[in-house]
Order: sequence, then C-alpha cells, then structure tokens
Amino acid sequence: MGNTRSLTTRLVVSASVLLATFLGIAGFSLDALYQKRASESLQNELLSHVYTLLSASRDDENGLPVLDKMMPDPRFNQIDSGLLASVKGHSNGYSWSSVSTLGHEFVFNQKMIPGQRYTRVDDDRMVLYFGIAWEDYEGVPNNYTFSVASDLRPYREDLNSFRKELTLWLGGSAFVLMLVQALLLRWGMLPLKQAATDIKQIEDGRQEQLQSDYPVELQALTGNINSLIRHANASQQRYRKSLGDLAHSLKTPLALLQAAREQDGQQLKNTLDEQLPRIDELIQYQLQRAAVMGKSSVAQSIALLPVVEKICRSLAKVYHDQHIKFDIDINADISFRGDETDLMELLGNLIDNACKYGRHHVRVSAISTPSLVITVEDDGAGIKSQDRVKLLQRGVRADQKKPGQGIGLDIVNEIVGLYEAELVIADSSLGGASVSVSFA
Amino acid sequence: MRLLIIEDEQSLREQLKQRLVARGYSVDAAADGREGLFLGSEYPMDLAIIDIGLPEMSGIEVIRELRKQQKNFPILILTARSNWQDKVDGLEAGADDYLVKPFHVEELFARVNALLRRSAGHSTSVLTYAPLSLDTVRQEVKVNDELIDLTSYEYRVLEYLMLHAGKVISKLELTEHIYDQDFDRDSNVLEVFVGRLRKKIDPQSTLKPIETVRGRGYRFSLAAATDG
Repeated sequence: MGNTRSLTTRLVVSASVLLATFLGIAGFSLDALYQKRASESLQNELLSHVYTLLSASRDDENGLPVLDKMMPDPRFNQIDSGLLASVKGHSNGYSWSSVSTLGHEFVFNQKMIPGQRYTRVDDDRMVLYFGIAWEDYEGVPNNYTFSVASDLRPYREDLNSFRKELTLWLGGSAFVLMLVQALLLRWGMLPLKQAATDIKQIEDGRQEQLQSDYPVELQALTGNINSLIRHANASQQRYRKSLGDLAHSLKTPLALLQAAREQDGQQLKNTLDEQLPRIDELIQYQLQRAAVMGKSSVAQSIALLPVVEKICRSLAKVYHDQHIKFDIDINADISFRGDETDLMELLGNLIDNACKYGRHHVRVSAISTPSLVITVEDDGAGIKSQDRVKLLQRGVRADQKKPGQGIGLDIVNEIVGLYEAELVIADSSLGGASVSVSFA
Repeated sequence: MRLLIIEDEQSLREQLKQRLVARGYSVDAAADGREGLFLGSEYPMDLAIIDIGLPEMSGIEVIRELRKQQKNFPILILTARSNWQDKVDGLEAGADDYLVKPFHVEELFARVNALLRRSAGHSTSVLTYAPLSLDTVRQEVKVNDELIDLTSYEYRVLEYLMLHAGKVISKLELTEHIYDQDFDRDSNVLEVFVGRLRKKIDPQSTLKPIETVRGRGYRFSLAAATDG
C-alpha cells in the first residue's frame, strides 16, 4: 500500500483510526462502568453485613447492644475469611471484634456521628464505618460505630478476569470488523480497479474504450476518458492520413523534378519554379491539416474578442500600406469552445484573406444565439457565385490544385469540417465578400 | 541602409547576407539571439531580419528585448512554421511583417524595401523631389526622367539622405548606416562620395539638392513634389 497517495491506504488508515478510537472509548467506559458497579455492590454487601450485626445483637441489662463471640455468618467466625467486623461504643467503652480479625492489624479508630456512613479503601481492604445511636432503657442515646471490612482481593481478581474477557471480545470484534472493512473496501474499489484494467487493455490494444458499466460517480470521468481516447484516435488517424496523402502527393512533383535532371537552362529553372512552390504548399497544407485538433468534449472555452483583436492588430502591421480599417463587432462575453490554435488558424486565414482581397475595410463580427456564428467581411471585389461552390468543396486534394492558389481556405474548410460547422459565402454590405462560419 | 540578420541556419544566413550586400545594403549577421541582440542594441540598424526559431534565446525574446530598449527600426520575422499562432506571437512582440520559409529572395527584398520606406514615413516606392526621383525597388535615380548612373555606395548615400529629407544627417550617422562595423571611420571617403553625387545629379550646380550644414552634416533640401 505504501504511501498516502493510495486511496486504499487512506481508507484503511482512516477506518483503522476510527475503529481504534471507538474500541478504545468502548473498552475504557465498559471498564469504568464495571468498576463502579462492583464497588457499589461491595458497599451494599458491607452495609448488609452491618445490618446483620445489628440484628444479631441483643440488649444487656441497660438495654444497650451486646454481640456474641460467634456470629450467624460463619465468615465472621473464621480466621482469614476476609470478612472482618468490629463494634465500638463511644461513651461506655464497649468493644467487640469478630473472630476473623485475629492476627490482622485492623484499626477501627473511626468515630462516626450517628446516621453517618463512610467507606474507605485501605491497601487491599474496603471498610465501611456506620454510626448509630442506641437508646438505653432510660432513653439516653449512646453512640456506636459499626465497622465492617472486606478483603478486596477477590474483587480485584474479578476485575482482572473481566478485563481479560473484555480485551478478548473487543480484540476479536476489531479483527472481525477489520476483515469486513477490507472486504467492503475491495468491493468499493472494484470499479476503480476495473477502470485500471480497462485502461491497461486499451494500452495493450485489446479494446478501444472503457466498456464496463461504471457507477454514477465514475461515469463523468470514464465518459471523458472515452471521449479523449476517441479524440486522440481521430487525431492519430488524421495524422496518418495526412502523412499518407503527403507522401502520395509529393510523388508527382518529385517525379517531375527527377525528370528535369535531363533538362537544362531555362527549362530546368521553369520546372523548379513550378514544382518547388507546389511541394512547399503540399507540405504546409498536409501538416497544418494534421495539426488541427478538432472538436473535443473536454475543450475549454476561449474568449473570442481578444483573439480577434490580436489577429487584427497583427494584420494591421502586415497590411500597413493598405490602411485597412478593422471593425470588430463582438461582445466580450462571446466564447468559442475548442482548441485555441484551431481558432487562431481559422480566424487568421479568414481575416488575412479579407485583407488580401479587400481594399480598406474589414469587418469581423460574431453572434451567439447560443450557437456561435463568426462573420468576416471585406470591401473587395467579392466572390463570384460560380466560384463559391468550388471554394466550399471539402476534400479537394491540394495536389489537384494549381500552385499559388494558397492553402488558407483549405485549412479553414478542414477546421470547419472537424468542428461540424458550416461555411457560408455571401455578399457583404461593405461591397465585398462575407464569409461566415456557423458552429452547431 | 544597415541591416541586421539573425539566422541560425548558416547557409541561409550567408546566402541572405551575400544577396543583400550585392543589393547595396550593409549587413551585420548573427548566428544566435544573444549575438543578434548585442548587434541590434549597440549599432544603429535600419532594419532587422530575425528568424523566430533560434537556439538559446528565441527570436521573439530578441524582438521583445529590442523593443524594450526603444529600438524602433522595423523588424521582419522569418518563420519555418506557417501557423498563425507563431506569426501573431511575433507580430505582437513587436515585429512589423513576417515571411514564411521557404521564400523567394525577391519577396524578401520587396518586404525589406517596403518596411524601410514605411519606417521613413514614405508610402510609395518612388521618392520624388522634382526634378529628382529615386525608385527604391529598382534602385534607380532619375533627373528629369533621365537615368543617372550611380555606384552602389553613391546610391546608398543618396537613398538615405532622401528617405530622411529635410533632416540634418551627421557624417557619423551616414557612415554607420551605409557601412557595416568593419569600416574605417576616419577616412574621408564619404566627402568624396557626396562630391561625386553632387556632380552626377546636378552637374550645373543649379539645384543644390545636398546641402552641407557646417559642422553638423548633410541635408537633402529639395521640396517634395508628390510623395505618396
């Protein structure tokens, strides 16, 4: 289990602390309770012995109590029985001790006021002193103190055996509870373990998604993992496809260059001038196409306005001599859900085209109702309707295009496709083209 | 015009330097950001061409540092990656234009020329101060529509003075912008160039386009006919 970064360790440690605390408190209070009850019952027993002594006494000639040597309870008459008694008269000096006190230094020097009771624990004895007033025949009260002591050793033995049993029971239940807890923990952690196994399976290529039926608490997580996996797979496939396309599309210009080795002078230069830009464009197009991240369920929200402002500021420098006026009509709270680089590519290409084909005025606007529509307009010549269809065609391979056409709109098309958005070309009120991207 | 090239790729750096020198610019070249930043901070440059992907100190950092030091000469960035993130980052850091590799040298010349004109406050490539006109793209000078045959150094002196028409340009400034760091400043070559220039564009000495301001330098003092 190792460190506190393990969930199991955390749960085991916390449950164990809880269990230990609970069992500790339970043991302590049971022990205290038992001691209290035992000492109470011992006191009651001593008191009942006092009553026995009282009832065993008989009156002498003055009507005062006298006790016989032998008592009805045999324990008083037996040496070392553990039960000792003594009676003292305070005024007449009467003194009586049970036979069992013989050989014990048992000091009954306590003088009690009538009606008072006092219990004391001496080493291994508990002594009860009981004060009473006894009226003689003339009605004069005489004070006596009855003392009864009991050996504590049997009581302590009881307590010890109780403690032993208590420890046994609590220890046993702790063991059982730990066992149950371990089982519950295994059961509770099962879905996580399953997820780990599933992910391992995916890593090994034996399955493509987290398939098991996960509990509600994990579904958000596993769902996201699944969509990340789907997203990663799609990207990978796109990369693979782009690289395949790239390799394939480079063959033609490379073949032409190879053939050009036979040519000379101007002819060779013409071929180079034709094929080098074509190769450059193919590489740019395919690599950029592969780099598009696409829509993902875990994409973050990106505020649109700052990105548009950044691009317009940058393009204002690039097209400095054209003195372009940028109108930005975007609310600060409008955001785009997706990858920031994709957004940058999309807007960069659209606004760059607007600057390139427009004259002095470019407008970028966006509405969110709530689906996002971004529109870029210019005051150029516009796009003829027969050209619009061609521009909107997706999947036209770059190697089938004439060189020099630029790859900006192809990348825009690629991004629009991956975000399941729609590209609309129309006329702008500025006089030129209006290109809108509507996200679903 | 004195240009700074910061490019780590040796063959490209050498080639660019060669082509730009042949075109009449004086060029200082650096292979990494630190050296480039030093040259850009210490010498009066008219323009810098900076590759974004430099080892150690990136091109973006060099641009930021130069702008922080109030170096306001135009900067053209070269980037191998054509994505907008890179372009926008460079332009936001303080560059003025970008060029994606690979590029035609002619395209680079056009951008450099446009940036130099722009920074001098001219919006067209032909500077006209009747009857004199100077075409910064073709590097041609005409007087009354007649082509004047100038050497490369003579052209550079005239172009610099005309781009800063009306301002007094000290000999030191002129030298620094016409030659790279290895030039011997004590020689009086400059006076010789100016003297020959005056003879070539104004043989009758009726226009007096280049004025000598005693103790301070030279001034191009014809009035602009149409500029832009």
